[in-house]
Amino acid sequence: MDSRYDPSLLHSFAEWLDTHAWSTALHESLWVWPLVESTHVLTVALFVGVLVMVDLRLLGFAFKDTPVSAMTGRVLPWSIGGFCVMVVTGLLLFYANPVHLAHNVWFRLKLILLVMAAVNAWAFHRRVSRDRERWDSQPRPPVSVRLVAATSVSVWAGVILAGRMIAYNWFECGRDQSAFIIWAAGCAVDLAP
Amino acid sequence: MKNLKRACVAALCAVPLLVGVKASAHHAFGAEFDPNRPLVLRGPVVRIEWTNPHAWFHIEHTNDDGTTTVWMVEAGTPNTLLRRGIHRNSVPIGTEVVVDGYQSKDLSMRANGRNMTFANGQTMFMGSSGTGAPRDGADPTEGSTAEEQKKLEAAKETDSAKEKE
Repeated sequence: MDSRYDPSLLHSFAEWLDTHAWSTALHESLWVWPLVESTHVLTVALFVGVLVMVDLRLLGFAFKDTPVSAMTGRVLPWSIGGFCVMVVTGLLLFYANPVHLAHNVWFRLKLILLVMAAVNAWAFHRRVSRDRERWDSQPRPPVSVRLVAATSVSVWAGVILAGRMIAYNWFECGRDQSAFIIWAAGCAVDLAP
Repeated sequence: MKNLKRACVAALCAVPLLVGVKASAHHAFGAEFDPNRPLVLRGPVVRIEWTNPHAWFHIEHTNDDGTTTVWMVEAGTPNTLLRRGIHRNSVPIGTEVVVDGYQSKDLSMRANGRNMTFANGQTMFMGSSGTGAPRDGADPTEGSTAEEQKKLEAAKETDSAKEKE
């Protein structure tokens, strides 16, 4: 019996992306890739930076005498702008090197954290739509609001950390890895006995 | 107005920080490579991955017993290599090279490339600057200031003193 590898849907999708000439061109480009990566990092700084300031207000640490709505009304457009560019550049970076990233444990962890951040944001907007007027001007909003803000700061810190760690090869497939990493990264396994 | 002034000063102060981050390359040398395992690889280039954030040169090294091993050697970005006069078509597959580098910590057949020497004797620094790699003189941007030159000299002296012992 010959050795074979049953590719996951994600792996097949990544391999299909990898066949695109533009994917290779971006991965090998002299200027565009460095520009895209730098822009990604800078817009992460803009988006998360603004978000953290809002979270600090919600936690009751900063801008205590400014109503929450007054603050978010001014800074959130910047954050949303940063978010859009961040997402586009992030997708481009994945497009440039899809197979490697699809099997990178840090990248996978980052995606999980991003989903958690999205759920948290959704929960916050539901929470806000209930009774923001009541605590808008409070120096220290209710505990449920503070909990969401604390989760937001922690999860986004995790996203940035995981994103930075993608650069390191400690848990790469093809090296001697534990069964857990092989499972978590979805490494190709020789199925032949 | 005062706030704007302050913001401008803060922004200006941040510029060197950003430049510093940019110069410190993609990742630290010490995370993956062992400064105590220098190596010299000789043989033909069998494959080049001209990719960001690192180009990889695959070199078929001939071992002492006559067998060959293909090593993956990490280089700088395609952009930094271009600025040193090397582009994707200037090192054809099969080119004989000598590479000085450091082996990876996990002892796999991977190395961090420092100098690449061609058959005509031309030597090129193939690595990234500012990664915390050993100051072995390969990186021409190191030791460019008088202070750094002094440090380099001092380091060499202590090294030779150790050898005498």
